[in-house]
Amino acid sequence: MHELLHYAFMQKAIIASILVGLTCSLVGIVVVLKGMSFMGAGIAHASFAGVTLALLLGMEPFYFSLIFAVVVAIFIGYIERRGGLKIDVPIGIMFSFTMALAIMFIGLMKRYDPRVMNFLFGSVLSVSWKDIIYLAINLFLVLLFFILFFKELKFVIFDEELAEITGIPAGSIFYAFLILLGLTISTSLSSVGVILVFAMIVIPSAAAYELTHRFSLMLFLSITFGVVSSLIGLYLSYQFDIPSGASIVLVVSFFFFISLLISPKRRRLR
Amino acid sequence: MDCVVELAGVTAGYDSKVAIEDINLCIKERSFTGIIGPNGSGKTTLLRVITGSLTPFRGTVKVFGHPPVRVRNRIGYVPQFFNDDPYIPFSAIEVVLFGLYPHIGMIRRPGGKDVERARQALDTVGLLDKEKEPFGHLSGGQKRRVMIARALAGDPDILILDEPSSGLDVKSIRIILDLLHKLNTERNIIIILVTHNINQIASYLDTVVYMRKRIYVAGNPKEVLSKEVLSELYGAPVDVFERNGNICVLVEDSHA
Repeated sequence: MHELLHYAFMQKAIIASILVGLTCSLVGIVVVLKGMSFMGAGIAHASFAGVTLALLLGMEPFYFSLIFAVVVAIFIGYIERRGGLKIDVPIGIMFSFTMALAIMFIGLMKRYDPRVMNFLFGSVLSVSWKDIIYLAINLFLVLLFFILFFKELKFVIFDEELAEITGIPAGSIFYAFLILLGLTISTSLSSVGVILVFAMIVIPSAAAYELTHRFSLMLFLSITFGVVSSLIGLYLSYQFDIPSGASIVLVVSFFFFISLLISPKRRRLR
Repeated sequence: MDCVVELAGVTAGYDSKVAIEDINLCIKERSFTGIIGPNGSGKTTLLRVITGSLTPFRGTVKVFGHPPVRVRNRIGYVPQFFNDDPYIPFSAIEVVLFGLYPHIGMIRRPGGKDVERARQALDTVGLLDKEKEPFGHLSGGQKRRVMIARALAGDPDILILDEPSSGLDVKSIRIILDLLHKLNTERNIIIILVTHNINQIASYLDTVVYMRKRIYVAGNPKEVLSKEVLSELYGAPVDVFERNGNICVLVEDSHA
């Protein structure tokens, strides 16, 4: 293990894994408790459409993925808040629409760009310092949001409409969160990829949800699962030469199944 | 006596669909008002207009002489439906504290005094012993009382409840109505509630408003809940009788 730390690429991978684990598991709490798990998948695919467009145009993928992610997050959020359609409908539509865009952009490329696969499946072992800076800025913004609006966020999770009636700016908090969710997904793409970023958002929080009735403890457990599984997954990836994104998600899934098995919440059902 | 809640010519709804039309209403100090009517008659829309969460298409709404959004901290609202996740990671006291957040202000955290106020509110609804219990573990009636405590924590002058008896057994309904009666008589809190179940609530009310998109009749329960008025409103024979001081309304079976 000690020798691993000598490699520069490994140092960057460890830092990136910790940052992704921390940020995704934090935003995941809100995603899981508000019952909008598939929103992560929808936004990730939108983000991928942005990446492929940027690669097609020969531009910086991050900004394009960010714009696509945030616009789609706000659009889905708007449909959800407006009522009428159930949230899975706009998510399903945007999921297919943006994936179709991504496939079209890939098809329009004169030459296949290998970075497409990196963004699709993630490659934490090849993250750059620039990726790490983006991840760190994102974590700072997410932490700031949680610190400043911790109590308001809890109320919005419990009942958004009631929070609004009571005088909490629930709409603004919800949209601010969606922008952060879009930002989190865009910054995490290079490390864990489109397919697996959704898992990193949902699974640590879902595992924590199984184990406690207390919000603050759920927050702590979710972060712990996110960070620990990122590090173990990274180590296993190096040791057994398997794709890092997949091994991280397999480890966090393992934590989830254990949580489900020992969950005090399910004991009454057995 | 001046109107505390005053609606003049209010028409409101969703998108372009009108749910309530040309509503004129005056709710006075210390009153206990029941808004009754069949499902889809616009009762909840009327409450949303009074709480300021829905802007009317036409007309004016004033609460204590101001638009409702300006006096939100004087209004306590208890919705019909609330979070039904049995494992939601919030305790009863945390849910009650939500009612204090607008008073605490943004960014600041609840302090010892806030927790004490929340505990007092839980005590008022008789659930202080459940303060640490996860919200999802409580029974339907207890959850409703926690939601009332949440609304009371902010020390409101008006308490607005949407279908407070919905989904509850007879005993739980009685506990909640007795609590509302106590808040009305001892703390002078104005109570406004909507229900489609007249019998459970009639004896507690001093004002009944019957609506079906518009307000058809409003006044003292003994005047409004008469055989003649209700038969005309329901378009079917309705019997009204008193037993032990309680008004009972019976829609007669057309097959009888």
